[in-house]
Amino acid sequence: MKNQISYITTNDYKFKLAAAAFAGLKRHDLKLVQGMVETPEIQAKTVEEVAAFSAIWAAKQLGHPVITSDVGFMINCLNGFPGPFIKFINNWLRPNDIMSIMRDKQDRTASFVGAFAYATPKGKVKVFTAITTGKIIDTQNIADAGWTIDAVFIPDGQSMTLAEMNESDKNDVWSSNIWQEVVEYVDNV
Amino acid sequence: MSKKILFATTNEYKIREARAVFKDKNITVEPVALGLAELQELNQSVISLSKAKQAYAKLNQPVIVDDAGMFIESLDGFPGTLTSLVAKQLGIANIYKLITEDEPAVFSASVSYCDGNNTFTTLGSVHGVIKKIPINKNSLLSDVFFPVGEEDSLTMLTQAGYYSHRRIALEKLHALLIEKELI
Repeated sequence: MKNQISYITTNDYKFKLAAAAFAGLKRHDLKLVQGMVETPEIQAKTVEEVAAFSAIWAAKQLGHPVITSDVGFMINCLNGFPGPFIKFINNWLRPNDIMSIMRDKQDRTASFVGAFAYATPKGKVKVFTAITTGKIIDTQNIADAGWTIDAVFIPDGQSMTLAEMNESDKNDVWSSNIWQEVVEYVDNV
Repeated sequence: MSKKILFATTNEYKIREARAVFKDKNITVEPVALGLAELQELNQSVISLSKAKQAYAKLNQPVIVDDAGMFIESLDGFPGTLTSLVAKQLGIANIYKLITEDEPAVFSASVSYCDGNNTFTTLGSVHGVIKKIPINKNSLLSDVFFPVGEEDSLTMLTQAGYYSHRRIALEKLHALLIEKELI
């Protein structure tokens, strides 16, 4: 119990990625386990704040360090909208709504932001971010398909929207060494 | 003996509304500034109840909190419970691009009360339309929202002490507290 770190996620695949990185942990007294507690997600402008709040809350509940993660999407000319609210916006707005909002915008840069927060029961928290930059497309009419944001975002270095890409291309887009950063931090705290 | 209820707000109009509603019971309503976490949640009552419990945990005194939002019917209630952050980030000019002229919407407030033993929540709603009138960087959504049958915006009606979504919720709470013999 005392030497556990819980990664709070109900997603087994996400846990597997984390566990693979934690296999490289030098501190053999620590073990990463999957935490299934439901944590509060607060309203905030950034996913960093959301993940940090959840992590501190869960660490206090569980009495040992935890890691939480959250993903958001930031459109730069819209002050980071929708940020952590991406899942709500995917339901509320259609791709053409995003096109309407962006019609007269010159700056079409946007990014997916993944935040990973490590917190201790004493309330100490460290947040790591993985950023995937890209652009909002400029098209007249987009069909509704899957997630709204995926249908309007082209990652840098790609020629298609996320919605049009196949799984293997998408995995390349998401690949990051964020878990190595987390592991390195945990080794040294 | 006069009883004191704290209201977790620093907005003078909200305090004025609450004082007007509770004055007949000789209750003093005092503002208190608290940093309360708001949940990412579509149900307004859930957010407001959570804030009331957090506020009571900090104060140990009877406290009222509120949570308000604007719900656009044709967009399934967007921006709803996320109104304040969405309005700040996206801005009213961009919200105008998503709607028609005289777009039907509802302004709702959930008011919650917690005194340690009892927790109540009430809802007040005002139906109306969003008019695409000129705005500036300080404009609020309530400045461009006109309740049904009114020529004035919701902001004007609130500031005149006439009525508001919040006032309706506060009046329901007032009636509920009397019914439960808590005031």
